[in-house]
Amino acid sequence: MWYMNEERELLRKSFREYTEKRIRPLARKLEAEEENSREALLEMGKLGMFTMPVPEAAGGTGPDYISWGLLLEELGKEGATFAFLALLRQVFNGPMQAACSKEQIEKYVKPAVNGEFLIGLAANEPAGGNNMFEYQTKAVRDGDDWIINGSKVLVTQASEVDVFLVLALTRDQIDFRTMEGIDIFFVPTSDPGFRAGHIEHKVGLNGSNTGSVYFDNIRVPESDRLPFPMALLMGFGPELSGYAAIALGGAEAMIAKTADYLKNRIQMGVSLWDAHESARHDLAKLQMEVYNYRNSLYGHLANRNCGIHDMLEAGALKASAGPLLEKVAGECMMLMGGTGVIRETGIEQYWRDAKALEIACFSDKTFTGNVAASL
Amino acid sequence: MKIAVSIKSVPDPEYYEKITIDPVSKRLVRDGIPAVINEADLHAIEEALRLKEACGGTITIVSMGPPAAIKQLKEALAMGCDEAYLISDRKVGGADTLATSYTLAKTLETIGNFDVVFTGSESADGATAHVPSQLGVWLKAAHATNVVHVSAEDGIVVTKQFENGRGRYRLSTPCVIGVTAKANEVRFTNVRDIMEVKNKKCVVLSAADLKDLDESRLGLPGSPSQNGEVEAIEANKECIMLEGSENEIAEKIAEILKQTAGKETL
Repeated sequence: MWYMNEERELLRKSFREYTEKRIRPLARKLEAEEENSREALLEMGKLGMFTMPVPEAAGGTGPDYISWGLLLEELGKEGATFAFLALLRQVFNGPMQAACSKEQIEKYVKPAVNGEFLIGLAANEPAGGNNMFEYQTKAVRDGDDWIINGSKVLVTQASEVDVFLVLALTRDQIDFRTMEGIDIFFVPTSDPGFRAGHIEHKVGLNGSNTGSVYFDNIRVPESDRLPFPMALLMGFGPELSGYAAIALGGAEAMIAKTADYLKNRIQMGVSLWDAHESARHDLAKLQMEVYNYRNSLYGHLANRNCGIHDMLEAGALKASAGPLLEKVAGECMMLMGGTGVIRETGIEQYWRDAKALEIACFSDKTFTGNVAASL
Repeated sequence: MKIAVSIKSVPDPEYYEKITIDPVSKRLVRDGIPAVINEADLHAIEEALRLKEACGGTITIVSMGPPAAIKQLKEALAMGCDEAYLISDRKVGGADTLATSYTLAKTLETIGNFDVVFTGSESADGATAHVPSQLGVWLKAAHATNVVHVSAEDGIVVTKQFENGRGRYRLSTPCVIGVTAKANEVRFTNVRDIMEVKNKKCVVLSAADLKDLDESRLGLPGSPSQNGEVEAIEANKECIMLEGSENEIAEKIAEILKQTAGKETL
């Protein structure tokens, strides 16, 4: 592969080993919601797996987005949930570089990058993800502090993170041009005023504990308010190409599993693989799509290593991640016949995860709208 | 403490079904089979890392093999070891265990005076388990094999696994310790350690670099044991289902064992 080198080979080998030994047994339990992701995510942090695209000044190992892609691709081979949760670390760590003060980077970003605790984002409200102007969560100034009251919905890892980045309105009137009046605060979930509520039952990404959270008179110091909140909200974009790496890993795993099944499923003394050219070609067509997608993804990540962060490209990759995963899962289930629809076979989970991936971190409709606006 | 670990690059056991034997040279045909660090050697590295954490010092990796084995040395560096030396030379090719251990001992003597040398107790491909003891003899050092635990709290104390139990021994230094795959759980590699590999010393040596070397002891000419006839065995397994009560099945098994004593098949 053109983007591989000695160091990345070593990284991929270690990611693969970690995924097979640690994540494989966990992924099934996570999907059945019999286990949570917290300990494994903290362990990954301690193993340096969230340091890769993070600048050294913020506790990282420098901006190698290709190695970051390799991590998500390998994790994606064992289902989308855990890979998605690992991706979220960078979705926060990336834009926090520009959004936080130096003190906040020392206090929150560095420990999070190195697995000392988990940071999450509590933004969404019933008013709608993109409709921040009608949010009900408020922060009111009280001396040197802020008092936060309100609630959030559809929060990922609602009951598993240590610190939430909480989006709250700090003015009665929001300035539509500058977005002044929308602020973001670090809120520790150990505060007695914090409560995690109902966990939703979703179509996919089960085990990511999506639910509601409540803030009741939580006092936070001014030093825990982000100085540049818009840098966080506008900075997610480039990180969303990580969804493509997850879908790539999932698609590769499903194609390999299906090829193996077809070669070993013997009927009348002949394998399905040898008996049906159409089955071989169906799978080969999927593999060709994977080749193209892989090149597109790693080309984009190579550009990011050169300092080119194309939001539209990242959005296009994110928007096609869910459909690719859904298509490959659907075709592989079909090729496997009855075996394909059995949960234990491990294909149908991707099919369900694909739909959840399409919608998480802005739906494909949003990205399509962005591209339309650029034309 | 100066710690060394002798490792071997072996064919990946996951591909064993694809390995064949060259009918002329009697050697394994490894074309297209990826190489990995021998399983027991990974546990030897883990034991070395634990000893370094307890006592401080450095860990040096040594290995003998083709130039491609440098990849496995770098994997060992990625696990947290400090430097690596590969002895790679046509003169050392085709070595049996005695010539191999001689070459490794000379490599260790050339590089420096080590307090503790770890190895895997046996390799996945040769599986002779000769090298740890032979290394100890060549280096005139205390040595122990089949080691499942190492403690450095009060000198080097090892626990050896026997068929019917375990024994603890205190080793004087320098010493050679052959570690089994049951000794520990190998840690996951840290991204930071991987990114340090490019800054670590990784040297390929030839026979000419080794001090006080008797070249007649190297490679195939220096190997007293030579491969005899080797043939691939075609396994034809058959599963026979026994029916009846537990006692009836037990009697049937006993009868089968009597009938097949000394025979290869039923």
